Amino acid sequence: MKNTLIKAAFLVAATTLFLYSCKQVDQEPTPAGATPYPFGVPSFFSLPIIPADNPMTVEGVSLGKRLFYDDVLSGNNTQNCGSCHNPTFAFTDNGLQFSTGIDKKMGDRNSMPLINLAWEKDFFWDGRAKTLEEQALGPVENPIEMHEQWPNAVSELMANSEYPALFEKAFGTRVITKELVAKAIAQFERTMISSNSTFDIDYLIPSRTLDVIKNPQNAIERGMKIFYEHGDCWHCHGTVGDYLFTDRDFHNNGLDSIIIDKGLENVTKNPMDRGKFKTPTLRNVEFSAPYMHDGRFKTLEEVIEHYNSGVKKSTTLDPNMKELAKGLNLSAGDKQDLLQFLVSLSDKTFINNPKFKEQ
Amino acid sequence: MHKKQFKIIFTILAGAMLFSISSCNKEDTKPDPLPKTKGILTLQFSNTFDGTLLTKNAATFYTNAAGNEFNVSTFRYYISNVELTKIDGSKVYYPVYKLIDAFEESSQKLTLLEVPNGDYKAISYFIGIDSTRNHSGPQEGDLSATTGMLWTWASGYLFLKLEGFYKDGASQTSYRYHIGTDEFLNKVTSPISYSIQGTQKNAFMVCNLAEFFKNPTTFDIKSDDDIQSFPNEKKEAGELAANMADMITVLKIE
Ligand code: HEC
Ligand code: HEC
Repeated sequence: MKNTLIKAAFLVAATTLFLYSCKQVDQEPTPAGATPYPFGVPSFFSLPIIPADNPMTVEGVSLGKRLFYDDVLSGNNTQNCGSCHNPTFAFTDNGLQFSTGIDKKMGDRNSMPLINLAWEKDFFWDGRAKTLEEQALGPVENPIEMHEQWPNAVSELMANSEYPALFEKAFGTRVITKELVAKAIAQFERTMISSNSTFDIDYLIPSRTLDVIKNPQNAIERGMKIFYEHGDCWHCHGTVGDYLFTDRDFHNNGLDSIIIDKGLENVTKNPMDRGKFKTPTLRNVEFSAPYMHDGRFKTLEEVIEHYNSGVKKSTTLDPNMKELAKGLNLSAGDKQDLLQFLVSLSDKTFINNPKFKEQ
Repeated sequence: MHKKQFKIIFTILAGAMLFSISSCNKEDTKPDPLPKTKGILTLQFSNTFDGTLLTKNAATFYTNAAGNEFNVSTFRYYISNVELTKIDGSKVYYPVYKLIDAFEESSQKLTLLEVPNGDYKAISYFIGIDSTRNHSGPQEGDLSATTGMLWTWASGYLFLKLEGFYKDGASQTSYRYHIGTDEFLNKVTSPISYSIQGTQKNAFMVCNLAEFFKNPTTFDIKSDDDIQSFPNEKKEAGELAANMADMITVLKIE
């Protein structure tokens, strides 16, 4: 009986969801011969963003996965996207602070987790790319990443015995372009959905309301209370009902008083944007150490201590850091509870999903 | 719910989505011809500081009545429960919920369909959300949690969110005003005469942020730069909420 009710609730939710998708996701028909990809999203997420000119197809996603893990896209054929975005580390770079590109040159930003990207509207720590398609064009030519010229990569793909046929299946043409490569990779990236963490299983999937925190029974719920109440975390990492655990916006969260990496200001040229970076999702954060845009914190304990007592003032410190800047005064037990809550966002079925791993 | 069931649901969802997508494509986008007895009224909001359109994160600051120099990084507010009053006193009610974002043009239009023909003398609306909807948790559309306007627990929605930076002596620091809770719901009526005769008209609504800081209370940001409408902040939140009542004016309807 209870299950039937839940199902019914899901269906109602689903129906409304699709009325919306009907309005917003104005999908073009898939290229001739390609199979529409059955793209289901959990009821407790909002609607994903799928560009009209890149509908998801089974063939496109599978081609995208192959390209994601193919060294052919790098200058000396030694690196692929997966080199710096390893699923086991929530698609970050194997625990490294900075990534090393093919020429052994090191970047100055920490690799970003690739999770629930279909909901994001800005990409990179400083938001310099506006779509996943645009983002995917970047690393290939970036001199400190894959350092390849697109024309070279494209001619290597054209000369390959299998790729032209795969592009034909996915996009209806054997003529490979960098735009089509980017589209295929973006399709694969949009399938990387994480929604099966302990928190999801215990609270969201059974549609439990979170007001359990009025009388917290366990460490996770006590941590949840800090997160959603005086910890102020929810202002930027998602309020109740917004379970992507990011507001998909940019903030200065008080890492430095003198700001060297200007973040969003580099893109907007507005000094009011100094030191603002994209809020990362907290899903699977247990696996994506080290933390922040420059990977300065090695552990989640260090991150929690930053918010508890280490916030630095500067002219662009976010309005929602006002309370945190005064210090949170968490006890050792509180910090443990907050940590337990963050760890409850880990989704092992995501990081171990064979659909996402190199085969 | 078990994983298997979840999978089944996913498949249903996927199917439904494909179905809705294909039906979408076939949909005729042309609106039905207007029934002659009804018209359309579109409320268009512009967000200003004393006549200048607001700019997000501006490096030049505005000066309010208390003399504070400040800028704006976030400015959003809800308009809901619109009511149009005819000259005979009868009312037409629209259960709408619209989040206006000063920096997102696509959010600044609220269209009322099927407005009965007639001569009208007023527009009324809430700045905020009525208590029923305010306490129903995350909902759809402009009331979804992804708008960032929902407080976490029973407190409901922020009716207005204003954030930015101000000059505090030689330094610059942030302020945030999150106004909400049932007691601070503003019900506003703007008297204005207009006539709907089977046509589309626009109501030009001007929100002047300067009014947030004055009339009746001249509010000094330095006196309190962080108000979240918590129980211990009722006095200040109440002053700002009262200032909000005359923040929006109807410039003209044509
Ligand atoms: C040499 C390591 C390296 C390689 C190779 C690499 N990336 Fe990245 N990736 C990074 C780093 C570092 C960042 C953050 C850079 C920044 O913000 O300046 C990043 C950011 C991203 C983001 C932004 C995520 C977000 O939430 O905004 C996406 C998406 C992404 N990479 C996809 C890819 C794809 C697709 C490829 C292959 C075409 C690729 N990466 C290859 C290191 C790498
Ligand atoms: C004002 C907005 C804001 C608030 C409030 C906030 N965060 Fe963050 N958080 C961010 C931003 C932005 C980053 C990335 C900053 C950077 O890399 O420069 C971040 C990074 C993090 C990271 C590192 C994630 C990663 O992948 O590197 C964790 C963990 C985190 N926050 C947890 C919390 C917790 C717990 C709280 C509450 C105590 C909190 N945050 C409050 C905006 C915020």
